[in-house]
Amino acid sequence: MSSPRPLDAASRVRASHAPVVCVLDEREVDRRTDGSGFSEDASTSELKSLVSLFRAVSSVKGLNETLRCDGERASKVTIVRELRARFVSEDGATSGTRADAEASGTAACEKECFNAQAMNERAVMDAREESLDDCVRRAREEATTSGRFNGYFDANARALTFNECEAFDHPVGAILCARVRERTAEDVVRVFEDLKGRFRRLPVFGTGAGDPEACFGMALVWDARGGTSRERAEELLKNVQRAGAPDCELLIVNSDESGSFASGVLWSEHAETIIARAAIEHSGASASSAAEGKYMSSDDVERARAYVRSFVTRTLIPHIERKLFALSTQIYNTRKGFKNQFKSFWGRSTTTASRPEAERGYRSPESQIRLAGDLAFGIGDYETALAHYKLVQSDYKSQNAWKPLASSYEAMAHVYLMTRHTRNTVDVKKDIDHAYDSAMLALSKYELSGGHSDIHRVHVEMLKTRSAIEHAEALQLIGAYRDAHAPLVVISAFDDSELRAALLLERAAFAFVRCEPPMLRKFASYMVLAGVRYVRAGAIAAATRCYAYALPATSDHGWNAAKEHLNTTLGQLCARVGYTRASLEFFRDAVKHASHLTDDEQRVRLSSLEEYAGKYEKETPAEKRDAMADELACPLPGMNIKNVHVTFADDRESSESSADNGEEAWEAIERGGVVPQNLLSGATGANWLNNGGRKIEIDQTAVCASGEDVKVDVEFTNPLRLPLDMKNLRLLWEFTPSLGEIMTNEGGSESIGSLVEAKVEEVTLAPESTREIRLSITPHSSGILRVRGVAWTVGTTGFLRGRRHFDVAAPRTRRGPDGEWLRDVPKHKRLIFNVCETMPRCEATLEGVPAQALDGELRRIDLIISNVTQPMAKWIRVRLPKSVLRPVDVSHVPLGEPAIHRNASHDDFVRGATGGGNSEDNLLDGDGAVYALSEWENLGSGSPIRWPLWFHPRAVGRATVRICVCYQPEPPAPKLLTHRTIRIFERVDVAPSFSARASSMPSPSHPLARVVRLSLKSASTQTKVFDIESVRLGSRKDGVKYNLVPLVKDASASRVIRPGETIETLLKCSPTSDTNASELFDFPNAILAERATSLFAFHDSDRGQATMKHFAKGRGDVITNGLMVTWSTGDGALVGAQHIRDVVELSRCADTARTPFSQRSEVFWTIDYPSIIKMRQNSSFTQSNVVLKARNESDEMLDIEFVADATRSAPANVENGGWSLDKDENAWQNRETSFPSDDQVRRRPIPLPPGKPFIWVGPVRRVARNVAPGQVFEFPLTIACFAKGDHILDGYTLSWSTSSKNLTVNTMTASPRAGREHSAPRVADPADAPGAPHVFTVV
Amino acid sequence: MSASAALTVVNANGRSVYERELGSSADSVDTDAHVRELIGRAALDFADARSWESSATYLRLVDRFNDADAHGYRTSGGGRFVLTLRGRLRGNAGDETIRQFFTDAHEAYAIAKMNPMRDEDEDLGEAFDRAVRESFRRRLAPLFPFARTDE
Amino acid sequence: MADGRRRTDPAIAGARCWQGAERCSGELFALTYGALVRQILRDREDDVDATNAALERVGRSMGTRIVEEYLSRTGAGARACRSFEDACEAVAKTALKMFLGVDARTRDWSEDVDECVIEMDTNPLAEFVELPKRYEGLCYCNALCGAIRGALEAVRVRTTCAFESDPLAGNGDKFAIRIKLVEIVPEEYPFDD
Repeated sequence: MSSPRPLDAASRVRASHAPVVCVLDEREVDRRTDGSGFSEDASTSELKSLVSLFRAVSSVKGLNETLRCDGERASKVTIVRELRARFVSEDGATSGTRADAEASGTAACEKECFNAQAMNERAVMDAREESLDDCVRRAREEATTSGRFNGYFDANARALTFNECEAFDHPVGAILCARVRERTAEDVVRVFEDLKGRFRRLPVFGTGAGDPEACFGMALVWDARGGTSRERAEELLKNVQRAGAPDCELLIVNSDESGSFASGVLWSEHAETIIARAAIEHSGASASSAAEGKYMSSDDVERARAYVRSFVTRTLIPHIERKLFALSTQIYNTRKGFKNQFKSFWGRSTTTASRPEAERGYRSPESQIRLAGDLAFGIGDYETALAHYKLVQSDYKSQNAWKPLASSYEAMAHVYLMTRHTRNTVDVKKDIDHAYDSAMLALSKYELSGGHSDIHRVHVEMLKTRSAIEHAEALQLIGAYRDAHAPLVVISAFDDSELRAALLLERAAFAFVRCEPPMLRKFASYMVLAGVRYVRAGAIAAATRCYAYALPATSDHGWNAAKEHLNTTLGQLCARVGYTRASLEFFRDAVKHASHLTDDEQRVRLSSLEEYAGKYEKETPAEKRDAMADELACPLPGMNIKNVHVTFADDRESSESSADNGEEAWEAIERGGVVPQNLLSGATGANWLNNGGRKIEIDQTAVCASGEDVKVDVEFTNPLRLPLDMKNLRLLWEFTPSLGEIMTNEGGSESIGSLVEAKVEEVTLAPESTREIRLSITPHSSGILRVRGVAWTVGTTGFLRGRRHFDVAAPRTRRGPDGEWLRDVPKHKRLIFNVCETMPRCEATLEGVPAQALDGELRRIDLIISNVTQPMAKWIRVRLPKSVLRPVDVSHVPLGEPAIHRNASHDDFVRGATGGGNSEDNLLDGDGAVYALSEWENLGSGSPIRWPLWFHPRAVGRATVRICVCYQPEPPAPKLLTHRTIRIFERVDVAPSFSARASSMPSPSHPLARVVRLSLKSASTQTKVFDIESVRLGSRKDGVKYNLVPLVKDASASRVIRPGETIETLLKCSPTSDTNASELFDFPNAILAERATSLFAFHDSDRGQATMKHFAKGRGDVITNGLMVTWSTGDGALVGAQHIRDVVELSRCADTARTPFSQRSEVFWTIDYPSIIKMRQNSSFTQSNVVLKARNESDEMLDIEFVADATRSAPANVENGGWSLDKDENAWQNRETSFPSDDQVRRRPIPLPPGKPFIWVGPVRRVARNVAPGQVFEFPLTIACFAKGDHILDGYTLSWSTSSKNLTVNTMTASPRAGREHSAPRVADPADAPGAPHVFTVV
Repeated sequence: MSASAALTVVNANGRSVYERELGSSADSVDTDAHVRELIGRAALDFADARSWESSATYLRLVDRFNDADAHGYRTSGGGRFVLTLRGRLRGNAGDETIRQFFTDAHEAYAIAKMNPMRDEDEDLGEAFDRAVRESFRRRLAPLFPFARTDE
Repeated sequence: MADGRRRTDPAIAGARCWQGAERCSGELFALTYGALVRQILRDREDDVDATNAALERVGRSMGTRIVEEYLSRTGAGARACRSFEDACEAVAKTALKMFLGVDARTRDWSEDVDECVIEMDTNPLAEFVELPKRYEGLCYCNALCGAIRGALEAVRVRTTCAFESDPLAGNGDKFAIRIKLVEIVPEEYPFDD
């Protein structure tokens, strides 16, 4: 059925309010009486009925009729310019039932909703990429054209027409048609008579609702194909006119013999027809075909038009005028005017209170008012109509006549709609809303009033639906699209028929898309709701359409759940229709957004995706499919195409992560002599990652050797909540051999025996995880290898294949030739490999490197180099960090920088080495020493080298060992890869053992002699016992040699550091003449010499790295190279050495031959003391007396003063505390007598951190006045010792000044060494005493 | 009686940058995520329309769908918040409380927009989420028969 | 050896300088730094490692310049930072305070003082910042490490710096930088005086 463009609300209303004229055709009557249905020719080629003929010509234009139809104001005239009558057939003029409405409605939208093919696959697929604008355009287009909504609800509306309370549906006139046959005029007149009778018996009048008083027009219809001749017809007409039907006229049908459809009138095009279509259909007539009435000639139609015109002007309008006049006068008499108001008030209150419907016949005042209104409306006199409606509403209200009330409200709304142009939209909208709302209200009341009968409920529902739809349409007409949805949605909420609800919701959605700007989100959500209802109603096509509309609106960011839902549903719908391709696409998209679902749901989605992937593959032949695109579109798993990490066969990492230690460090090392210069001088450093000539450098290739596999780490993400197993996971490569044409595995699976093989993996990704997977690929011949991407298969069935191509992200840091930014692909991301011929490959490992080591320990480890490939590796060179590692075999000397030429022999190396005058210092890199041994010239496969090394960590913390091995292939070497290096990287955590500090004091015996005080402090965390083995001075090629003598009483005793202890040792270094003295002192059971020497080698090697050397500089110091203390752990398991780089020179050498006279001091002094003091048992301390003898060397009287310095403390291991001091230092004076004697030891001394080995006690400030020149004065003094060990008797100052009467001496403020003026005292330190230091031992 | 609350935030470009359910009562029939989304988003259209009519930031009740009320808020920068509440509020403190909640959300939004590591159309980060939930727990949760105010 | 020069409390010194210096608004500062980081990321096409390195370099060059300012303002001669310990204290207590207005302290000193952690109460750089998922592993404030390293290098203390705890990366709740001493470069004295 060709569905013409639906009418807009206004013309619809106008049409439905046109005065109704019933057409009674004799032939119809006969048909009905003798049950013969339509004659077959009639069904196809003839007119359905005369009704459609009249409808075609129903609108009469160009009138100029002035009507005086107002009873109260006779002067008021209404001018009718155009009138269209509404022709109905005799049986059309009845209202239908819900069932009929359903049936015909469904039929109306059958094609668009239920016919699966209505939404074809292409259209559905297009919705996926449709842009919003297109979507809007499409939606708006469809909103105005689609017939399904109107088609369905017209049926509803039609079923409600011709009910008792809507007067405009009641026929005001009739056209009586008799057929021309062989009969007399009298018969014809009789026919007219009983047609009149039939008219009066129409159901509308039967119920007494309609006013049977009507006007009649008569027509004699001559069917040209009916067999009778025209002359006969003319004649009969005359007779009839004579016989009592004067205004009867002749109508002619089917006068066109040829049947060429001359009139060209499409009978179904006309408003009434459209409105009444539903009726026509369910009244059994078949769909009107184009051939309908093809025998009608155009002048037949013209004749009919003329007839209708005359009927309208001569009969209909006068009739309406008369009737209106009568009604208005009557209304005026009964209702208008003051007294009538009054009377009617009483009257109504008594008589008309709540009259049952049945009795509200056409004679009842309110019906007449309504009729008047409708008639006025019909002739376009809207004000009057409105007045009447308002008037009648009060009546209806007062008598609870809800249904008529509602319909009057609707009529009122119609008026507003018709007069919308004369007022501003806002008011119109307000009025319309009010009218329809109150109509709805009235209807609800009506529903309640009518009891619970089903029929009643259904009826009310129909009414409500109609009014709601009218409301919505009206709103849309006046452009209030935003509010148009409300009534529809309300209705749809309590509607039991899914289809109807769906249609309503869809309509609402369209309303949204029509506003400006379009409310797309609203549109989408209502479309989805509609879609749901459609699905329930089984209208697949419509549902698909709705979802497809919603899709573009949700295309923007977010909307995950919505997207997922839409795609899934669409997928299922398409599956039901059988669009495999489309459903596959939709399922794919659904899976993309499925991350928020539970794992079960996800499993379902995934399985359906797989299923349809398989289905599609089976259904469509391979050449039809675009396999590549499908694989690229595969949603699972996520892969990071920007980030890869390439690793080469020899596990060479190249990370740019940490700036300070990493590639740069290695670069430095490799340039530091291990790699021969001439090889380094290549285009780029011969580092085998970035090797390659400039031209390849542009597209940034990496170099690898054929036969060795390259590993590429790729990052996969599994967004789902269920494990995902990937099969057949492999790299996609493209290989251009140096000779031969390009080949690739992009096409399909691996071809066996090809020049490149990509290893195929199988992995399972854990739920919601990201995992880096290492794929490997092996080229077997030289050429250029490009790694393009990755391909895989997901899921159990092999149908879900995926692939991605790499697009490596790289910083744009370089400018190109013409200023554009170039990518600098970092080395570990380069995917173009320059495969060169086979190279030897060696592997090197360190054996026996401990994870934990003690600071300064000595350990033997092995470096093992082995050639794992067939070809020979030549000229192996090893670079050791010499501060930590050195060869055990002392004969192995490091090289300088030899010049290696192609196929040079090892002798060249050595020659170069010796020629280069290599002292270890002029090696290129600070801490590196390069070794190349003759037996390493050639290294065949499978013959490992084992090279013993000493490992000697010398700094606490994490010691990093970087060893670099370099080797070359047999010449001629491949151009790209002249050599290779191996990098060994070890970390060792070095724990502190004990810390050694040394300070030296001049010794008077010889200007260069020194007393060195070693203090060795066990680390706090240390639990081991260290046994001091030997002490050795750092050697010095030129300069004095020393003999070492311990200033300790029992040299034989071994020195032991227990945990937490500090021991002190005094060594006297006296210069000796023999040049090869071993500046070494061995304590008992010293460690083996060879170890000692190796340790010493370490000590020597890093000369010049003393960190705090400047302290000793320029002080005329002698022990420049520090000294080394070797030790072994108590259990003898470990040996090692601490190296003391800086021996602190304490103070200037005292009087020696070097000292100039002016510098000599006037007082020499010495101390008599017991060299060994025995500690008493059960006591914390021991007292001992000493005597300080001071001799005045000067030639004048001196005052000499001895002051024990209470604050000076020498570090010591205090077993049981030291002596406590008072706050003030002067306390010493008053302390003199209060010192406890030996026998009455009461209080244990309070520990005095860090504790003192001894302190001066007794009188600690002595002054000797007027000491004559040359005289010796003796100070009797006392010390109290607390700690065992060797101590130096110090901690005092001796000061003197030329004595003069009343000279007060203040030593504390005296500045030492302050010139030679007399009054100022001179202060001397213990170290200045000849023969100092005074060492004593407490045992 | 079942209840739930969800917040949708759309930035000035109309991209949704935040969409979470803030809380739901124990017996709340688990509304599908997509329904929640559709309601929230749909309400945005009305929020926009309303924001043209009024200059106020808080747009009050902008839309209602079955038992779900959608309250709107529009930042001066053009971002829109829609709070979708299913189920009736306990007591009648509603409007004012909701306004306060929106104000808090607005603050958090402003801060989140300052994040230099975030693109204009990216989702608002966890900080925003935390702030909003906190405010929700403090202000609105008491008015609802909520069992759990955070998933 | 107790030298006569009386040291003022470094924290106070820092605070004083912070008061003295003219400042810009925290937002502006934070956002500017953020923009810098974003730009570097964009140039590196979101290569996080490369970006960290770049930030470090930027920081270093800042540090080498800023140290001059520091020394002159605090009036502490270069010898104030001779020992690693002093240097770290200076960074934590004074420098951070005077340039960023951050209160910081050192902790976790190692056995023989060659390693410690500087813990900051706040970090104006990281204000408003929240790292999106795709940038995990990005060390947002790496410029800070670089600056410290550069500054210390300028006073002959070679170190390595790295964030020990970084709230942005989701570990720890305070910013803490671990500084490790590599060596103290000896100053070259004239040989004999």
